[in-house]
Amino acid sequence: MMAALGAEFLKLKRSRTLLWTALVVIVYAAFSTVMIVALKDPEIMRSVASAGGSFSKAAAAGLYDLNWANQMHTFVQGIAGTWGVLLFSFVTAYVFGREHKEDTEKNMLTSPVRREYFVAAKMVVVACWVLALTLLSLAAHAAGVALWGVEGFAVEHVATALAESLEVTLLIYLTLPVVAWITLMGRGYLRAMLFAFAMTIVGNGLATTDASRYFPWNMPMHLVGASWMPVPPSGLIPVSWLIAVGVFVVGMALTIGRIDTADTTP
Amino acid sequence: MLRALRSEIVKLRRARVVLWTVLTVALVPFVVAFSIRLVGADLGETTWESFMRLAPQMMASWWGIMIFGLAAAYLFGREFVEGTAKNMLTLPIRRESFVVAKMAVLAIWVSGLALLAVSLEAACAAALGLPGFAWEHIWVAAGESMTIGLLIYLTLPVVAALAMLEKGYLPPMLFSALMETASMLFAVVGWARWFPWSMPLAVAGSSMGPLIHKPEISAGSWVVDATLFVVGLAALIVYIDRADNAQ
Repeated sequence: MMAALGAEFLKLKRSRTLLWTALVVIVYAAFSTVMIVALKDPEIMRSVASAGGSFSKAAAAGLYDLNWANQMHTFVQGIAGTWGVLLFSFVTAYVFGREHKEDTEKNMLTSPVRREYFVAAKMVVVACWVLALTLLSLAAHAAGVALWGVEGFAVEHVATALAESLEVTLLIYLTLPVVAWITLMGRGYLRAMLFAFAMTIVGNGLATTDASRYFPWNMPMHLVGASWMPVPPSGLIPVSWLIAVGVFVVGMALTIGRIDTADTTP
Repeated sequence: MLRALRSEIVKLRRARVVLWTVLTVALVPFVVAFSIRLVGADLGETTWESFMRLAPQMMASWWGIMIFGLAAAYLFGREFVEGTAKNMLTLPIRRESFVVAKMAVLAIWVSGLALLAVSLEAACAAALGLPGFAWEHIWVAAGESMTIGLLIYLTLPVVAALAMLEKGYLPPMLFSALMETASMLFAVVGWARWFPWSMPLAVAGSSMGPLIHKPEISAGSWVVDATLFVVGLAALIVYIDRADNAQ
């Protein structure tokens, strides 16, 4: 098992995708800090406050005030509702799909190693990768907010954002075995990426409904809210976590089942 | 040239990706209709006009850049992924023909998806029994969707160039996802008229409420978008003209 894990990490040593995903996170953080321009514009804020409905309520509640607490919370919302599901699914599609794309699948499947080890090792690599992206994103956002000279810094805001982002990352991670399974079934990246995108479409459609907390791909957004809908945060219920864990277990079972019965001939 | 075009179309005959993009686009109006039902919204307030406006809005703010980017990445990247680039690059045919043929197929794919989205939106509106039907609402939605499709299409040579340079799907897909997010952010801060990926939001507005100001695009915006298309296409042609067939 440890040898399989070591091999999976070694495979990433010269992988450009690692750099691409890091670049996406950093550029997204840079773009997000541009939003501060909008928050400083009284005309934009007036139009949001006078828009009525949930936007007016959010403005009245101070969700659009420019301070460290809101900026750090917006960062977590970015992972939950914008790039987390897509980027983490890309990572999973790459880790599981490259064996087929790079024609190393036949070697992997004929090695005298239990096939479940490959799945476990790849899931560990995905876990490390998405965790690193989350931490990188937090660091980049905090640096951007600091560079703009936003007031109200407190370590507590960063710590809260860290805890929330880890929880959001965990919730998204629990959905990733399904992406891995679709990647193995589709023998490539595209189907898995379309699936992830379809899940974000469904998630956004359900965001303001009661069904949101039962839809695994939407749970992260439900947990921390989304300032652009705006959807207020409302903690998950135990059933939500049960569903999320259930999706993980089913996804893992499907992935292991697929790799156990896979043939070396395409 | 016509042979290259024909062979590009034939290559898609059994491509499941076409079906997958159709299914993903088809999902959108059903999700919108389902969520309207689920929140118990007063359907009296949702009219044909407001429901049909969602088709171009959803394309501009949610799925257009991603799905059209995926189609471009697939058309240009698959030659490397499937190991056929070496055949393509050694055929006694002008290499520019392949680029032009692929861009033509991409235009058909983009138009097809845009019209499919409008058709299904209309079908959902009919199924929901919304009040205020008029053919005009469908024509307006179709016209706006085609304009949005064109604005996004003009950005696709950049995605295609990335797919060829990186010899695969992932970098161009990541680029498309990033541009989709950036389109929103630039629209919020009011720079949309100069940022090609934000320009589609000008046609029908955004489904994301007052945070996104409907940008006003000018003749200058079209010049910027067209220039991006020409530069992207030139980069593609230069790349393919000088590409080595060793993969």
